[in-house]
Amino acid sequence: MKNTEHTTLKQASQRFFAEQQLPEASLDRFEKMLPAADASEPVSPSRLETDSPTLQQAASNRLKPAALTASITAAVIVGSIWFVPSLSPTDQQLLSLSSPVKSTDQSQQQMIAAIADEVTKNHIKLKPLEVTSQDFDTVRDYFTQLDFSPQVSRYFPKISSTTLTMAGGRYCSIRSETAAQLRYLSSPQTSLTEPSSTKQWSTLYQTQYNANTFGALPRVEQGQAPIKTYSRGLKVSIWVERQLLMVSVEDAH
Amino acid sequence: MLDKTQLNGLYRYGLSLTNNSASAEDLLQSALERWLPKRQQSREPLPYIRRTMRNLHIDNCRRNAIIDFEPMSDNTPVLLDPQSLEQLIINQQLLQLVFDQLNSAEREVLYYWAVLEYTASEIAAELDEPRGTILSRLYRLKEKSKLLTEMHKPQSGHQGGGQ
Repeated sequence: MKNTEHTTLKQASQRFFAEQQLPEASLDRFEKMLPAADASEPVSPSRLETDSPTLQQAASNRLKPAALTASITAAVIVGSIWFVPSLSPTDQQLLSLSSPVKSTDQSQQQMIAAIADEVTKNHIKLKPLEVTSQDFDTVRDYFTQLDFSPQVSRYFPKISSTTLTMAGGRYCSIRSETAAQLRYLSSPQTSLTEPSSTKQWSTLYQTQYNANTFGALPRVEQGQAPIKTYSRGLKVSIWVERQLLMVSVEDAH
Repeated sequence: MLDKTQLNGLYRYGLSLTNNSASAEDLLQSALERWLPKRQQSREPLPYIRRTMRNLHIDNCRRNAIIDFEPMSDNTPVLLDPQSLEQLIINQQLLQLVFDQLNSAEREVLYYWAVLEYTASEIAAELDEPRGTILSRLYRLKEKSKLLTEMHKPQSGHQGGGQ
């Protein structure tokens, strides 16, 4: 036990909270209370409360490695069976033609998976906007600390199944590269003041494209189809436009 | 649906509000019961459930005439230097004491700041409260932690412990 050690208040608090757990019997009771995931739910939305390393460690310590491996394997299998047939014909075609599965090596696949994981995590987190405006220029002017200027994507509106209204933006990062997170409301009728649980958000991330960092990615201006994949139940599209890496996240319809 | 990690996360949030394991479980159960019929409309279940837990807790406090979210006066000091809170050192064993000294609102802010690692602005946005109110709670959190640390500072000459 390290309980007698001095540490920062934040770390001490993280440890303290990590030690607080529901009794197994209560966990079972809650799990029984929750019905199995509906067929209409692609994947349970997860704003995991394990952001801090301490909690992540605590969580992993509670799971037996074998059970964890089995769960992950099952999730991957279920995910592959679930998502691929649900894709539209266009998506399936894009996957077969431009997916990294066939055209890139394993490290590139890992990079794409890591990007998708990172952006969907941010999308689900829905951290507060640092600039709020329906005007793109106003939002762009906010990002003075970037080495690039966020651009209106000509491709992004084409892949979205709904009309997009600019809502604002905030700084973020993709694979440690500083990025702009541009958030859109997917329906112009939706009020900005509605409870967030009913809002439909789409997010577009932009950062400077560097092939050494991100590997070879499709350039839409050269007629290449964006990479489309799924992470955490959300649809992720990745492409390069105007020498910017663009990553969009939206609900999988 | 929610997994065990998420359920435990919500339970911890309930603990931050109630500082009582049984009450935290009750709060979680009540919030889940309210969320379940609406889960298809709720794209962000965890913030939604947390908000429900918070509202239920405030209702309980009102019903029991407990003042756990007291109003702030304009003169309430606020945390001006966030780094000072980040750098505050404390004995791990004192955490429960600190926790007991805080009211619901302060424990809740501690949860968001330490566990979810939100900034004051983010906490304010999440809880729909002024940033100044959050900074004030963080200030009191810091002051109470410092005070307890001072009170439990080992006196010189007692470090060896051997007899």
